[in-house]
Amino acid sequence: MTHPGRRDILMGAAALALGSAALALGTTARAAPPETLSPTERLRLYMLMRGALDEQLVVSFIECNYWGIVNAEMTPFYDLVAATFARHRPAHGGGYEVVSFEVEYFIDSATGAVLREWKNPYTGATVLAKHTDSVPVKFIIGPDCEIHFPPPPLIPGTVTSHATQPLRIVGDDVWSTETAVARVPVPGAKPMFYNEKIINHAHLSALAKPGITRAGADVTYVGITSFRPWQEMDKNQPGEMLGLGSGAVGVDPHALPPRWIAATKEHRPQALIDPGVYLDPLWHQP
Amino acid sequence: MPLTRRSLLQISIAAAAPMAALKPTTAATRGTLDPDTDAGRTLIFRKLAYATDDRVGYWWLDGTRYGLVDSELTPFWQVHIGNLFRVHELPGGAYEVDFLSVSFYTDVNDGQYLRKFLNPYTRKTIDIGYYPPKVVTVHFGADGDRNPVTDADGITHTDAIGPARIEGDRIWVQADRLLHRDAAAPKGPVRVNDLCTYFGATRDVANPHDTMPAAGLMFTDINAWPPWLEMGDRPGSYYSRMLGQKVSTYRQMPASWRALLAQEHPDIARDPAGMLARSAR
Repeated sequence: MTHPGRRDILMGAAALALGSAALALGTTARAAPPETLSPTERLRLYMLMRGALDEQLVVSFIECNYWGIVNAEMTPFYDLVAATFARHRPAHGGGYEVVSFEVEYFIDSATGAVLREWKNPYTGATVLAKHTDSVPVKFIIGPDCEIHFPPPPLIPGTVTSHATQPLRIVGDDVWSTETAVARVPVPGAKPMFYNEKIINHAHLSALAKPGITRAGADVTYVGITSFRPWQEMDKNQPGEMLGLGSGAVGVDPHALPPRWIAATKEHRPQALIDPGVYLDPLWHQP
Repeated sequence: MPLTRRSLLQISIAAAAPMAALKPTTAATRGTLDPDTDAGRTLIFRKLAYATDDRVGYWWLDGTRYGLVDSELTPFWQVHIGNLFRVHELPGGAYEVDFLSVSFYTDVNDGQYLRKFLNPYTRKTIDIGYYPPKVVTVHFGADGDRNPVTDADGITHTDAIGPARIEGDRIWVQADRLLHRDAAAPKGPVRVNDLCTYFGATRDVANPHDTMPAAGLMFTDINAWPPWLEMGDRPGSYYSRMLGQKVSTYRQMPASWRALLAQEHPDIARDPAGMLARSAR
C-alpha cells in the first residue's frame, strides 16, 4: 500500500506559506483595521508578508522540533530544518501565480547531523529516516488570498481544506494565519490527519513604506499530524506528532540556518549555488 | 547589507550604548546576545518575555482550545488571555516575576462568553472550570533556570530556555514549562506542557535603553484533560495554539478582553496594575 506523503496531501501548503510576486499594485498600506481593507490592499499586505510583489527569488526558512504525543506526554523525536525558494507574478484573473520549492531535512537534535536512522522511542526499533524530496510546485494565490492548488491525485475519501484567515492588525503589528487540514482514509487502519497552522507576522510600518515590493515576516508553525509510515509504529500505537517551528520569510540566503547550509552542502549543493534553477522549468512553463 | 547571524553573535549590549545611560542598571542588561550561551539565551528570554526594569507589562494571547484524540482536533472554544507581569530584581542576577493571569473562553461560532460547555466527547454539559485570577510569583535563577521545583502540591515544574536564534534583525527564543505529578500521587496526575516561542527585533533586544522590547509569542500547550472536563480515562490531550503580543499599557490590550474583564472582574478592571502590586508583596 502506498501511503500519501505530507506533500502529496497538502500539495506543499507549508512550503507555500513560507515561500511566497509580481508587480506592485500601486497602492500603499494604511493603518486601517482589517475589516476596512479593500481586497486589493489585503492582497498586497499579504503578499508583502509571505512573498513579494516582484519576480525576484524569495528565500525563507523554518526550524522545527518534533515530539511524539501520547495522552499529553511529550517524547522528543527530532528536528526539521527547511528552506523554501519561490517566485511570484500576477496571475491571469487576479491574484498571483507562485512557483515554490522546498529543501528540508530531518535533523538529529543531539548532534545536529542529518538524520539517517532514527530510533523509535515507542517501539525501540531503529528505522531508516525517510526524507521527502521536494518537487517544485505551482499554485495560485487568489484575489481573496486563498490558495488554489492544481487537483492532486488524492486517495478516494480524502478531505482537505486550506483557509487564509483575515489579517489581524493591532497597532503596528500585522498577522496572517493559514490553516491546512487533511484527513486521509487508510484501509484497515486509523485515518491519517494533518493539521497545520502557519502564522506570519510583520510590522504595518514596514509594509507601508512606499515603493517596496517585499517586506518579509516572522513565521511560526504548529502542526499536529499522525505518525508517519516510515516511523513504523505499532498498528495500535496511540498518539500523534507535534511540530513547533519558527523562521522567517525573505531572508538573505547566506543567513539561512547553519544546520540547513551544512546539510545542503552535502546533499544538494546546487541549492546553495543557484536555488532558482529548480524553479525554472515550472516558472517558464506556459 | 543585512546583518547576518554570525555578525550579530558578538553584539555586546554594553557596546550598543553607554552603560551609564541605563535607568535601572541590572545584571540583566549586561552580557551579550550570544544565543549559543546560557547567559545569552537568558538575556534574550528575559527581554522578550518580560523586562529588565520593574514596570508593569502586559501580554495578550488569543487562540483556540481543542480536544486531540487519535490526531483529530475537535475545537472546544476560543481562548482570550490577559497577563500582567512585573519583574523584581534579586541579588546576583536572579529575578522574580509576579503574574496576574485572567482567561476567558468564548464560543467558536458566535463569540459569546462561555460559562457552560457541551463536551463533544461525553455529550455532557459542564461548568467551565475557570481558574480564579490570582497573583503568582515565579523565581528565575541568574542563569534563567529554576529547575526543577516541586511545589507544595507535589507538582514538579521544569523550565527549559532555548534554543535561541538570531537571523539578521529577527530574534527568537523558545521557553518551555513542563508540570508533572505522577498518576500515583494522592492528588492525582498533572501533566502540563506549555511551549512558547518568543520573537522580536534584534535591535530592540540589543538596545539597553529598551527595557521592555516589543515581542510576539507563539504559544502551544499539550496537557492532560483537566478534571472538570469529566473525561475519565478517555485517551487524548487537551491542546491549544495561540498567538500573543507583549504591550506596555492596559489600553493596548484587546478591547474584547478588557470588556470581558470589566464584565466578570470589575474590581480588577478598575485598577489591574494595582491588584498586581497589592497582591504580590
